[in-house]
Amino acid sequence: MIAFDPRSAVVPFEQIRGQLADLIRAGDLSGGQRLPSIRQLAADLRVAPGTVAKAYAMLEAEGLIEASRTRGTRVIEGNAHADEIHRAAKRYVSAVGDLDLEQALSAVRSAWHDRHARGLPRPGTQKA
Amino acid sequence: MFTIAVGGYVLCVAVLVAVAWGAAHRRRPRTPAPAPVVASLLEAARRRAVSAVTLSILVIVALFAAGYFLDSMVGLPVALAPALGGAAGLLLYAATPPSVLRVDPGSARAASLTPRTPLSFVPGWGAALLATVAVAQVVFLLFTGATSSADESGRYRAIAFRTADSASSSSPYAGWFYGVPLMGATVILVAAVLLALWRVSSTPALPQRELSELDAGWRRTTNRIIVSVGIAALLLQFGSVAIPSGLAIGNAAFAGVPPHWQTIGRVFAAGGLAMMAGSIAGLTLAALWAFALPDLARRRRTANVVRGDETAPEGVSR
Repeated sequence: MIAFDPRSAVVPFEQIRGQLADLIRAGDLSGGQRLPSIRQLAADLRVAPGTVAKAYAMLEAEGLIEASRTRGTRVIEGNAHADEIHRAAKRYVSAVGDLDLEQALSAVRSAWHDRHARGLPRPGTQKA
Repeated sequence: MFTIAVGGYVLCVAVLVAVAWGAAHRRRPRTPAPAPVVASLLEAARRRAVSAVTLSILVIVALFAAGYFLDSMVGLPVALAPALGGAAGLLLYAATPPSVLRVDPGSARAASLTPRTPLSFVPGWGAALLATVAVAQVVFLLFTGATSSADESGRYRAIAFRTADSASSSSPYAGWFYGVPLMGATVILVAAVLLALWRVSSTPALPQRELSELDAGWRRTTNRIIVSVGIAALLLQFGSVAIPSGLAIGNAAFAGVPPHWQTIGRVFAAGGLAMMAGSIAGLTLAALWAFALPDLARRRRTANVVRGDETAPEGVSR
């Protein structure tokens, strides 16, 4: 299931896009799995169809899903993170203690920029 | 005779519904009262389902009565009554706007990521039985059409046997005269079933995570009712042409006719009677499920909640 909170500071389409992207990368939505139609998801979440359409369009542009008139909207194979990434993320989450999600992500961003500033390769890229 | 048959059919359904409803009421376990908004939603779903079943029965009886008075149509309205009656009830269901839980503009909601199709919550046995009866009926109608003969008015609604020295014919026999309109009516009935199922699948889901089982529960129960009305109508239609066709074969087949015809006639008549009984059972179950829809929708869910009154999920209203 995905949730939608109108009081959130995050804009509606980004809430939908973000949750779907997380579920795909976590492997909870596997490759080839069919997603609900724009009309169904919009009606169930009580949002405008255009909101879901925009979220789907962005996910399609990111290469996470593909839309077809005949086959519907499906998750593209091969976008789930590797198991070691999942394990590392779980270790980190259990280590952060009382931090909330934004604070925990802030720490990740800081470490990310620090690594980049020291000229180390970004995770997922290989030096020739 | 005709009035007794129709009256007996309706009486059977009514008595069975009353007896089963009474027995179910006595044995019903105490379940937690649903939140008022949820209860009113389930009550609206019950009204729609009961209306569909009631209209189906009324149209069937009305067309049976019309056929009784319209002699010139030689029973065609009677033959078409079950499918058209079932289709009328299901089209009423599809045309009635569903009640939807409204959400406060500022409250959070959740949605499933499983696509819903008209067949999503249809019981496997129901879909298989509906398809089997529909196909069997088409095969029966094609067989009787191919073996039919014209009556004195040129209508293909008789069965005739001829040998070198004698001939015999009997009607009414399904033949092309009844078979072609019945196949058309079957298509209309199946389309009405699919349309009603589509209406269920296109109704927005209950917007809270904790209501997801209840949402699945009312969809499952409603689809069971829709499919049962479809099956009951098809069985009644099939049975009401199989019995006279079987009797017509028995009447027309004389000593010189190959004996397998007598067997075919008996199978048609006995099968027709069994289908009439199945139709009564199907319509009775559909009516019972419609009356008990709120309880059936909550059945699986109540096993998982602590006894006591439920509270309304935050931010929902009808």
